[in-house]
Amino acid sequence: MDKKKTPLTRKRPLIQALSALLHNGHLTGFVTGNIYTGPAKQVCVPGLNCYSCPGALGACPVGSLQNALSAYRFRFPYYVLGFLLLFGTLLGRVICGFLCPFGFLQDLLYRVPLPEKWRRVRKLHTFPGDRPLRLVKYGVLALLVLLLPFTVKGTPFFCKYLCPSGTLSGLLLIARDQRLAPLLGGIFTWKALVLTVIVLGSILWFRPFCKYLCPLGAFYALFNKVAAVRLGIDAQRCTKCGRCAKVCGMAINPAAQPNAAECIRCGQCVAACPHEAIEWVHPALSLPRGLGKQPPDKKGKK
Amino acid sequence: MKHSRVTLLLLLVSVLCLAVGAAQGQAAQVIAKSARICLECIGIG
Repeated sequence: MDKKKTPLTRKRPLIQALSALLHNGHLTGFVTGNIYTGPAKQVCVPGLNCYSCPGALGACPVGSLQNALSAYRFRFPYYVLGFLLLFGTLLGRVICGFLCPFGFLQDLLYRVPLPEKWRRVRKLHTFPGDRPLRLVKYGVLALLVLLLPFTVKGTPFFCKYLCPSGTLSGLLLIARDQRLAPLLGGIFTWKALVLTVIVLGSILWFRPFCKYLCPLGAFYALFNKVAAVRLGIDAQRCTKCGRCAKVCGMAINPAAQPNAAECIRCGQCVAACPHEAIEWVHPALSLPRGLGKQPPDKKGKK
Repeated sequence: MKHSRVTLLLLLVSVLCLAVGAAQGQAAQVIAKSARICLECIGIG
């Protein structure tokens, strides 16, 4: 890989680490077990990061949305939706690829060394039934985040029954405050099981939670085609060699669909393209100099 | 550019939503939940 060619892709792990740190900048919380309660908690963060995490500085948008929908005195959740729309419109699933702390955790787990026979499993980015399964995350968004919290007041269904970020937060809190341990019951056991499956799955496969379950990724996926930061194909340079599709962990073909809903904008295809045919484009906003390229004109010329 | 117009329109809507929500005091609703340990989230509630 030409390192000068793909600075954004090359810097992705660093950006992810910094973002995880920013999402969880209340570092003393990890020592004391006390969560942050300051004014930043009224601001929603872009990634999936439980607000009960001892380090969390902001509010989880999925939790905040469910809380607003399940409030006994319902008001249309303009505020939380405003944040979600803003993040989605500016970045789409760039948030999944670059900013989400839980996405970063899955990427780290995917780097855990494996014996040779298991490494072959890793190379299978898709399997029969994979495509329909990816629709489950839209069901999670519609049912557990929107519909059920709205109809059954006082219960954030996604947080309560599925969210692995919350379970991680719970484990961190219980580690610091043993008084919580006797309160654990069947729901915690279920959530711990879900977390375990996701952790093991993330070691074997690329981003299973993002692919199949994440309601936040499902929401941002709706914006991939119109987000300010997108990917573009220079048709004159693309030879349809298939290199981009081969490296894509989300098993899409970037040359055919650079702005597919499933694309988490990890930039691996940009780095892998030998012809520099895939580019970061930014029609409405400008990336810092050197991190992106101007979109090609209608004829595909530079 | 069609994409840019849609993007700008969505940006305007998002800022409008944020402003309306903030004016209605919905930020207080968010912090009221996020500044306490969410028992449902951690698997206790």
